[in-house]
Amino acid sequence: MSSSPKTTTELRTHGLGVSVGIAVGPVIRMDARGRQALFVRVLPSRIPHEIKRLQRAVQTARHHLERIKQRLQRDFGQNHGYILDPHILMLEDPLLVQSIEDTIRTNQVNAEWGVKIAVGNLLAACETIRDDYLRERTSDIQDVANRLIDVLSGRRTSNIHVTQPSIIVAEDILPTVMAELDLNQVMGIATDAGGWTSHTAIIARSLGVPAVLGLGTFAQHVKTGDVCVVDGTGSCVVLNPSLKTQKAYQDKLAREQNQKQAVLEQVTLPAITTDKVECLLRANLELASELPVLHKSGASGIGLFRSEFLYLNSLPNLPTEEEHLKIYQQLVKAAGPAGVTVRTIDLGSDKIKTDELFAEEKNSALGLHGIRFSLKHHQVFRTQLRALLRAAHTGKLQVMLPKVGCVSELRKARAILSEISQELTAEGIPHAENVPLGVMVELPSAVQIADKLAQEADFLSIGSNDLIQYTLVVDRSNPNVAMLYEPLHPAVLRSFRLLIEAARKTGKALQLCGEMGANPICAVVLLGMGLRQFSMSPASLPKIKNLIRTISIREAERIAAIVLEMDTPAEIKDYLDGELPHCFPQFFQEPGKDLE
Amino acid sequence: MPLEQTCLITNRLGLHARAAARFVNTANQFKSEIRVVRTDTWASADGKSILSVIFLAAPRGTQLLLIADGPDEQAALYSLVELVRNGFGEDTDVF
Repeated sequence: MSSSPKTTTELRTHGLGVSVGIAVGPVIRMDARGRQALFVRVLPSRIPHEIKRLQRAVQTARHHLERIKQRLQRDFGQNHGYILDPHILMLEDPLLVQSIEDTIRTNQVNAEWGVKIAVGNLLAACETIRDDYLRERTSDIQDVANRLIDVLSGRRTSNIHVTQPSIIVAEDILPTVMAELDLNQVMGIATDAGGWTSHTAIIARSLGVPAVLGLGTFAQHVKTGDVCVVDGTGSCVVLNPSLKTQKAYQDKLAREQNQKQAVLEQVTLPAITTDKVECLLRANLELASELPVLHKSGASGIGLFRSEFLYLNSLPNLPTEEEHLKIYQQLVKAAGPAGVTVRTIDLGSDKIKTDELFAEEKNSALGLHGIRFSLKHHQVFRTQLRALLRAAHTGKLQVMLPKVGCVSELRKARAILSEISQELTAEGIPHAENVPLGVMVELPSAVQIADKLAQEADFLSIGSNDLIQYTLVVDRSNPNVAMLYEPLHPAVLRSFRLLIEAARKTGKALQLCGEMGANPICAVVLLGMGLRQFSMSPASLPKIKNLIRTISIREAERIAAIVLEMDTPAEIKDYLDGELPHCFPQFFQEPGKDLE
Repeated sequence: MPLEQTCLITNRLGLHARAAARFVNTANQFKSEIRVVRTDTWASADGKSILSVIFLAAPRGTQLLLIADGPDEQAALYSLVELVRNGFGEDTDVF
């Protein structure tokens, strides 16, 4: 083993924080030395023996993986067992075993060498795969080969026993090796290799273990027993942290835990500011199976139910009226008097391509989606509206139309709704005569006619994710422009101002549903501009409720007024970064000041 | 007479190892032979061999032609097409 430099002074290295959180503890250094398969030429008479050794090794390796899989399922639930399914299937795959056997026969070599050559050939074929994620996944094949060689040569694949809470440091961790660790004892993970989509990242996130990957050449400086900080939130690791650094991180950890606790204790309290302005926080949901978290999150009802999953789950067919009804009744019941807002189907050709209804479009963002789709495919829309009117009979429900860009779309939808009501009356089916019908403002055209829409709609809802993309003409999934996606862009804030004014003048309800409301910095500005209703993912609700309960609207209004005069998103962010910790210190801790 | 049907890969990550494992596990429940063909490159795979399926390296948006041949070909084809269309039970990244 080469003598790598071991450092005793503090070493801070930046990587990719793939799983948030902070851990400080002793290191277990995993060695990922390449396995050396021994080359032995064998006599033709010994070939059957080598083949038998291979077959036995395949069985042993398979049993071993089955055992790990069972343990994973027992400790972490059914969902975690599937991680090893590809490896188990590979060991059962005749393509792999056959090609190793052929190599042993043709080259007259031992089983170890046969594995190495055959797998090398298979992997060479993978080099041409263009998709990064798919290419990265072929490392599973190498993982299986390593296991076979280990079994054949009588070596244990991993002799690492994690007996106390530890930080795992390695060049890379192969998935089956990762699965073998006692994950209950793993406090944090730091590796040289790996990215967002690596197995290590996926497992770390699903277990909630802080992890920083892609550290380059960090592992060579580390040995078992060293103390290390893994800061998944700050995307860095610190080896041999000074006592001062350790203390700073431990304080940060304690503070995060306290804050989390305080936030959880407040979920049942009303969302009311220090100057007694009451706000409404609702939940965004898309599956009926999410309903149990609704009450835990402290939500006042469901502000946005995305009905798309209903459609995706029933492909290649469309959901029937009864299927719609069943789900909507569940929602109405769970939401109670606070009510539920169901958004009608919003699928574009970019979102699903598996049915002829959704013919592929060249530019789907500017194509047939939202209400446009529904007005073109009447029957699909009618089925959904019938179920909605029937469900509204059993409790409080309102209907929201996505991607409205013109008042005429709202009028057409309203006409269809009243036709359906008559239809149901004629059929003698119990239903609500009328339901509140609102529009989701996502298109810049809707912003410009906000006053007209507010007059005719029963309520307005801002779909901030799409409104920002369409206003700024930025596709967030395009890495070339993703950084231009700025919720605090003056153009976005001016759009909101128009909408808030329109709602105020007409006395109509206005809520914001989107990630923007879940960002505390943005939320202060929105509250200061006059927004009082937000709908967001249930996981974000406690945090925003905590924010609302610690700030005053008067201060938020002062801040928003200053922000609205500013010229660029950068200027706005700089100002807020300085101002918010000063105005609302209970919520906005000065970030990282004690850590550098 | 073998049955065939096309379907699109909709899950964000494409036909990666775990998705392939789900596919092969489903295919193995049937007696019929299963072929998986990419309609863009016409590369084809044995639907019961995970390596063969992984080597198709089919990303999201690839159209697959599934062919089932055997006593339970209808049920096999139906189950596999459903699995692919449902994004192998993973996120379909809809929003």
